[in-house]
Amino acid sequence: MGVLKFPGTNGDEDVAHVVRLFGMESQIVWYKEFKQKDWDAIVLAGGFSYADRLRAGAIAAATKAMDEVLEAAEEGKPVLGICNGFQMLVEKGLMGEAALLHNENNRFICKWVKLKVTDVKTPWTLAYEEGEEVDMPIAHAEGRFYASEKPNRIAFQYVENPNGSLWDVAGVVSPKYENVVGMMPHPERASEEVLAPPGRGPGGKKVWESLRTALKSGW
Amino acid sequence: MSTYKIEVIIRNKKVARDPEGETIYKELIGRSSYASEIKGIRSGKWLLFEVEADSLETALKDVEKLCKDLRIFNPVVHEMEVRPYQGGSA
Repeated sequence: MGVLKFPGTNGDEDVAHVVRLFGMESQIVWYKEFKQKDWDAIVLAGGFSYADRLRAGAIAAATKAMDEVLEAAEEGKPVLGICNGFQMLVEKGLMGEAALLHNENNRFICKWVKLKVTDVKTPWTLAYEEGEEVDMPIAHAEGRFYASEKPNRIAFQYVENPNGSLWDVAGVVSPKYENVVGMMPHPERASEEVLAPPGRGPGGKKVWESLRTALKSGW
Repeated sequence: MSTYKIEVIIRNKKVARDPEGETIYKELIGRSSYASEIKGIRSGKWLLFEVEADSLETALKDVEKLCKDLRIFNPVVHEMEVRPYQGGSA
C-alpha cells in the first residue's frame, strides 16, 4: 500500500506502521514521486499539508499526485483519506458538493470520540458490523462536514457530534467511487490496545482488517 | 497593457455560518463597551491580485475566472466578491 506524503503531512509513519502490523506491505511516498500504478491501495495520511494555507487540503488537491489519486479511484482501487487526507479528497471534488469547514466552536479539537459505523460495504469498513460503535481519536480544526444534500452513503457518524458536522458525519463514501472513503477520525491512532486510553478501545483495527480482506478477496 | 490591483473577498455563506466572526462578536465585542452599537460582524479572507490586462474590466474578469478555475473559493460554502482595490499602497 502507498501512503502519500505532502509537505506538512505527519500521519504517514503511523499509517505505514499499522498497515504492516496487519500483515500488509506499505511504503511512504513523497508526492512528487507518487505513481498510482505502483500500488494496490492508497492512504492519504493526515497532518497539515502546505500549512493548511488557503483551506486545509486545498493546495495539495491541486498537485499532480492528486490527479494520480483520482485515476486510482477511477480504476476501483481502495483509497482512504484520513483527516487532512479527507480534506484533500473533498477539495479535489471526489466527495461531491461538500466542504469541511472550521469547527463550530472555532477551535482545534483533539479528543477520543465514539463513532457509529454506518456503511460496511466499502473496502475500508467491511470487517465492521453495521451500527457497531467504536472509539477513535479526532484532531482537527476544519472538520465540520457540510454538503448541500445529505450524502447517500455515510461511513461513520459521531455518536456525540463534536464539531457541528451536518448529519453527524465523521466519514463518507465518495458518491462517485465506492472504493473511496474519507474520514476525520484517525483509525491509525486507534489500532493498538496500548494506545487506547482507559475506557476506550482500539476502534480503528477493523479498517486495516477490512482492507486486508478486500485486497485478498474483493468486497 | 496596464497593471491593475484587484481585491477578492471570500466569506462563508450564511448557511455555512462563520465561527470566527461569531467568536469575535460574542467574546470580544460582546464583552466590551461597544456591545450595544455593534450588531454583527463577519470574517473572511482577503486577497489582493496584481493583474496585467488591457482594461480594468478584463482584469476583473480574469481574476474571477481564476478564482473559479483554481478553486480559490468553494462555491458550496463560500461567496466571493471581486472588485477594484481602492486602498493605499499594498
